[in-house]
Amino acid sequence: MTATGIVGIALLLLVSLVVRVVPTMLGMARRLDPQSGALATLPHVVLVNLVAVCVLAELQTDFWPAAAGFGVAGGVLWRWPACNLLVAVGLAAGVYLAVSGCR
Amino acid sequence: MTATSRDDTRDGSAPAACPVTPGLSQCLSVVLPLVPIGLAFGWLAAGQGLHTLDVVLMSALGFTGSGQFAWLQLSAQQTPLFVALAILLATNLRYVPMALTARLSPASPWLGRVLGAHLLSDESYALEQGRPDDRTRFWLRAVVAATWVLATGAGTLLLGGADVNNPMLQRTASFAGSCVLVLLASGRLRCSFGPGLLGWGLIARTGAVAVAVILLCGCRWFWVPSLAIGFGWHRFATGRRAS
Repeated sequence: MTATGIVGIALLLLVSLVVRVVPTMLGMARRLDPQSGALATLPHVVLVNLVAVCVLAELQTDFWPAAAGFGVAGGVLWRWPACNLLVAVGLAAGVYLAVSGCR
Repeated sequence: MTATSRDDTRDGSAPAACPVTPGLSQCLSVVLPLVPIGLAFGWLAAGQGLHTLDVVLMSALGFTGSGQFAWLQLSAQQTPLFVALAILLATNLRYVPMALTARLSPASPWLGRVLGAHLLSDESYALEQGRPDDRTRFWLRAVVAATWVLATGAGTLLLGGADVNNPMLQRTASFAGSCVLVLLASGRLRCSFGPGLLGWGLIARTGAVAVAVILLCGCRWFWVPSLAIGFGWHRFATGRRAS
């Protein structure tokens, strides 16, 4: 195995744990009523996501696969207001990239 | 929560479950286009010096599709790890609500729920609509994931020596990816509006609009108007429902 492969596996496994496994196993959905006002925050979540993706797409010349992924996400109903926090992390990453000039 | 709660209808009311029954043909229509994309990933990864074992483990343990492509690019650019992690997280945040709304029943075995969450993908999420049976949903996810793992591994073996700048291979991968998205979108429309909606007239009009938007916004930003319209429409629908 190569170092690039090992690091990539570790990062992507961590991502999968954070975005799929941990939220599911913590039972977050049971403690949050998806039918309540959470749905009203959906447009904001999607909008902030779009901003994050736009920033990333602008910085990463060939970042269209991520944009396509978010296109699929656009069809997903986000009913969990705490997602705003996670999206803010993504936005912060985009701002950091913009400020640092990383490309 | 079953698929019913993650569907939506034109008027924003609680929808009925998608009437499409689980079928091998529908599963294949989504899974088969993944093969050329997986082959392309393996081919690109091999071009960056990754071994078959790297690719197979990355596909199995870091099953994120677009995240894997992004990692190839980030590693080639020697992006700092923290930045790479932030980017990979940002591009996969959609899985949080997807995992929550499509989680397997708490009555399922613990390991099954962990694996089921890890194996969730855009494709399986779309295929699962209207299927409350945990076993069916788990196997749909497993089939999609296994196809991806095998295809990416095969890509390193079969195409490892190919030129990474080969435009034909690049077009093959991107065309298959677009086909998957079109299939998922059309399936979603059929579930929400009925099978009669998708006629040749609509396809022709949609195609014309797509070409116009590409000409207007360019190849990088053509997808923004559709999401902006979707954003506005959803806001309008939720506002009307609240009132």
